[in-house]
Amino acid sequence: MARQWMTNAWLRVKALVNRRRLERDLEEELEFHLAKRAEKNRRLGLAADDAQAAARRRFGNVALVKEDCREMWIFTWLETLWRDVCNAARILAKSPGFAAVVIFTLALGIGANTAVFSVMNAVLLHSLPYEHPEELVTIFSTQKWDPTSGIHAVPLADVATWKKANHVFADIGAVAGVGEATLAGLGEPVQVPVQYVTPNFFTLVGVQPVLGRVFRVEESHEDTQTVVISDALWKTKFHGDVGVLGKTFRIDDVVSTVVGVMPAGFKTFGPWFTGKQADVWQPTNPEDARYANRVGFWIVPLARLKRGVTLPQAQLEMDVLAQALEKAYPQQNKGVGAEVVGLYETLYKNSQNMLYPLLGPVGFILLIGCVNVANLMLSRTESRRKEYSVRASLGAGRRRLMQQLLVEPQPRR
Amino acid sequence: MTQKKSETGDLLRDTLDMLILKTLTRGEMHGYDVAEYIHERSDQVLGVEEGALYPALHRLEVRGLLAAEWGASDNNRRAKYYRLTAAGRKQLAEETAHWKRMANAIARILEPA
Repeated sequence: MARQWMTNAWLRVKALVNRRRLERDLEEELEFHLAKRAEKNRRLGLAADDAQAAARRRFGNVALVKEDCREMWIFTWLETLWRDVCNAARILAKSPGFAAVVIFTLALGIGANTAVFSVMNAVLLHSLPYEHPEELVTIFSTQKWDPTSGIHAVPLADVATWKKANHVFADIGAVAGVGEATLAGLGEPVQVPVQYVTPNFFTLVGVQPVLGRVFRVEESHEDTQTVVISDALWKTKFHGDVGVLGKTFRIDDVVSTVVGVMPAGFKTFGPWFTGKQADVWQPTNPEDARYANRVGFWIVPLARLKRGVTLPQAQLEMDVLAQALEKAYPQQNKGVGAEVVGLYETLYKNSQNMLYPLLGPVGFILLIGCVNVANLMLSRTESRRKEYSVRASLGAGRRRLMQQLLVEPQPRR
Repeated sequence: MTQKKSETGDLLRDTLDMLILKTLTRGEMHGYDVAEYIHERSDQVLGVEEGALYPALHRLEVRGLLAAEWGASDNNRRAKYYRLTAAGRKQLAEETAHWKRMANAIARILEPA
């Protein structure tokens, strides 16, 4: 059966790929037949015209025959497939309990795999929704005296220094975590998720606002500030009004003027990916004098590598810069290193570590399911042992029996 | 036409397959020779339209019971030659046995005891 099926499949593929040739061959084959018949008719004494007409009469409807032959190549296959499907359906209907157990077992295995894969697909296999996300890196500080302490946020002033001194990054900015603030001046005061970013943040990730503009380089948070808002806030608080630009409200008592609206679906991230999305972005400027004391570790630098610069090259440069900072500010930066990590890795390393090990177990669940089903089949076969020995003694070949076993545990004619 | 088809159609489809397979045990043949052979051997009782032979030949080829090759014929035209495959031989043996059992059974019922 298997080999025959293969031959069939091959022939059909050939026929489909080479449709014109099939057509020509068919034409030629039938022509040949008619010519031979006409020739014989002539030998039997008919005139040339009559001989041909008689040949056609005897042949029947040529067009119909061609149609039938053509169909044979496609239809026969469907027919066999349909017969197999019918057979399978009949067996399943005959023993609903068995069918239910098998279906449930396989459904469980397949379901678990699909679920885990969907999560992986959503979280890990999609690239970040930014321009050239592979060029984006985050920079953390390390404490050389305690290598086990891991990576930490960085004082903003360091970002300002790196930005001036480095040769490997096209630009360096920074993002803070998403926090909560009180929004007042638009009806009832409400808590909204806010996020401090350096003015160049949106340019860094390469996402344009749908309305207005993003921050200017010199913008900062003072007694008054400019803010960029999310599509969600724009829709709920301003009802999608285009006149939102220039409107003001207060964020934790700082008068804030809306200058831009980010597109729906724009996703932000914090130093550690929590999935929490900000509704208001406030600018914070690394150049500000207020950060000059180089304490306050609350942001993570985000940088875009220059074209062609690799992560190790960037790391080398950062090592040098960190050493320079150590010398310049021994009090704050003694023993502080800088570690460059790809943005993707920063955001998804944890979920990667969590999800990849999950793939194994769910794979095994499916495997166990298959083994169970195989066992069930085996026990059913066992109960029909007698029938098999009868068939064998009646001359059924070993291959035929095996084929029957493989196709379905059901007697054939 | 339709009438004729329904009378001969179903019975003939399986039978025709068997006859073709049997005919081809004699060696490679093209469609015309198969038609002639069946026609002569059946004393012209099986009044099949010759065209009906071709869908059957193609069906058998698709099912892998026959293999086909193009070659030159006696009058130097290209002709499609069919030959039996191992699977075809086996199928023929099975069908012949089945047919004989059927024929015997029917004969026993029809003949007076």
